[in-house]
Amino acid sequence: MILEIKNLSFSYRENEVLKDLSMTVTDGEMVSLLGRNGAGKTTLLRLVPGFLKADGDSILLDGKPVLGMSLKERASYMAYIPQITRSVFPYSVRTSILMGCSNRLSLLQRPGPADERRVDQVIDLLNLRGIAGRNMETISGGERQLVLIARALMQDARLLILDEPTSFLDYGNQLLVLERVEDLVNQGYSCIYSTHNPDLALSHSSRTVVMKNGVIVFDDKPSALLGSDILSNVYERKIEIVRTENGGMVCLPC
Amino acid sequence: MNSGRSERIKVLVLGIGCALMAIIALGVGRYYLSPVSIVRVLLQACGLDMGMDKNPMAVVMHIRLPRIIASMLLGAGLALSGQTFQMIFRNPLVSPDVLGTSSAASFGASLSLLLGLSSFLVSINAFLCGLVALMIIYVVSTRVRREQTLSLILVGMVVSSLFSSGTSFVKLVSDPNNVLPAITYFLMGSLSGVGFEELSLIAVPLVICFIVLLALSWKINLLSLSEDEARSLGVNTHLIRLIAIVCATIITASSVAIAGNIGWVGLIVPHISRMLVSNDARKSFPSSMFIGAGLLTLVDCVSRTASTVEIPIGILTSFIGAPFFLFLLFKEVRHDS
Repeated sequence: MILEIKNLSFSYRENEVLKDLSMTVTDGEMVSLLGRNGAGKTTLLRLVPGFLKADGDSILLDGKPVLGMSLKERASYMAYIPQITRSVFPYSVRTSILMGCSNRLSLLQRPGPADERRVDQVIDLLNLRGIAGRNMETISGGERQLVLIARALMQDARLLILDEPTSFLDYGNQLLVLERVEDLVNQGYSCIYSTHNPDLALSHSSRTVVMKNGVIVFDDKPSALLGSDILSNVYERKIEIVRTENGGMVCLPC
Repeated sequence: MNSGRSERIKVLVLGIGCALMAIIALGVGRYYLSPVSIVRVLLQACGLDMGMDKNPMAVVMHIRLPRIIASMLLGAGLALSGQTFQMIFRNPLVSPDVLGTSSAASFGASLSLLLGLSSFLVSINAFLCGLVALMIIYVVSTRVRREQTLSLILVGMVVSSLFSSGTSFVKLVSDPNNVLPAITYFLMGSLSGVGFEELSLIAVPLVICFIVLLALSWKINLLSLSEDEARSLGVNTHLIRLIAIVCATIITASSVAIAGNIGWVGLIVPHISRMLVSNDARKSFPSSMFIGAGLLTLVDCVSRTASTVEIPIGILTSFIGAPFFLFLLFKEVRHDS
């Protein structure tokens, strides 16, 4: 599966937030999006599944324009995982995961035994058995993100779109969520996620895209940021990226 | 026992409780009949010879049965309609008259009473006014360039206000000795005038709406998520929301058409259902319907037996609903703190 974004521009009324933006995401890639507030990350992530309408064929999935696909077809290609939100009517973890099969159901159809069995497989795959019987209200933020990822797996979608999946999570849960996503990417899924934490982008992505004022200013492997002043320019303060003893990278504000 | 099975058992128990309530309600009144006698009357009505006299047969089959069927249908309908609106508007404090169809149906009924029409025509006009309001809301809200849910609620408020003004005007010009008390009494809500003729008007649309909403219950679960989430799961939120609103509104208009305004049932019963059973509409829809049917039948029993003069059912549901609403508010405050 290939997601192609070609010369994408988008405006909210007169305010142009994305300018002639092009990029691709292929199977097995984990792409992190970095940029300041208002850089256009969330707009981009909402344009890809068609929540916002861009020009007809500027976003393609396997060569087909996303906006030409039905909602069900889109849902079979990609799953959107929002920032942590509290539902007014919180469901059980099991029911929340089961919701992922809805793209395969007709208008009046309900999930059947085969869907219930698939929920069990997904629960085991993401190691959620311990919380399967609980309500979404009573589990931690990190667990909630994992449940939403499990719901995405129920969709059988190969592209995971995560809008700031680590917001509001403690550091341990941030790592837990991204490690689980990395496991899935290693199994052939692809993922594009936005984050405000450059350290996570450096350590948990195969490619990093940096945006500034609606334009992509960097699109390469995270290691290519070593020695560059891209992040310093974007965040408007001196940031040094250094290698750690075990080969990782961290940002150091100077 | 897994939670899904225990929830199904709770729904079953509520269904049995609702059936028992109906049998007891058929016996309660000035002419008391024991539950055993009621069962014998019903069996005799089915063709078996149970040796029952004409009097109990007439009381049960011609006077109480249509009224209890109405209280069951309307109780179930108001609860289902309230829960549907709460889920699609993602707001637990929404009630079935949120879009103003109750006000429209009340206007239709008031105008018909002013014109001296028969009770059957009063019901028909109330129902038709409810549908006209629904069409106005739909046509106007689709032309407002705003988020769909918000525009529906705003247009609903406008429609409600317009029809409420219309009802006030009808009251102003009506004869204060005969017509005004009739309008006021009708709007307080009562099942006293309901017979098989009125039931025949609303039973078919009500049952069709029940079936559609129950069949859509899984998809209505998804509407209670954020719009982006629901659409990313492949759900046509616009279509499902439209069908659900049409069904819930027809239920509300049907209720006002034959029984006037019965408040609070559609607000509080969904809360009881969610507390007792689950947030999952596949289970909470049927449980809401059973609780609503049982509650309204119980309240109707009280309304016709508590005093020599029948108390309007809308007054009693408000007596129960208002304190329960306060209880919910306090519970919410404790939960947040």
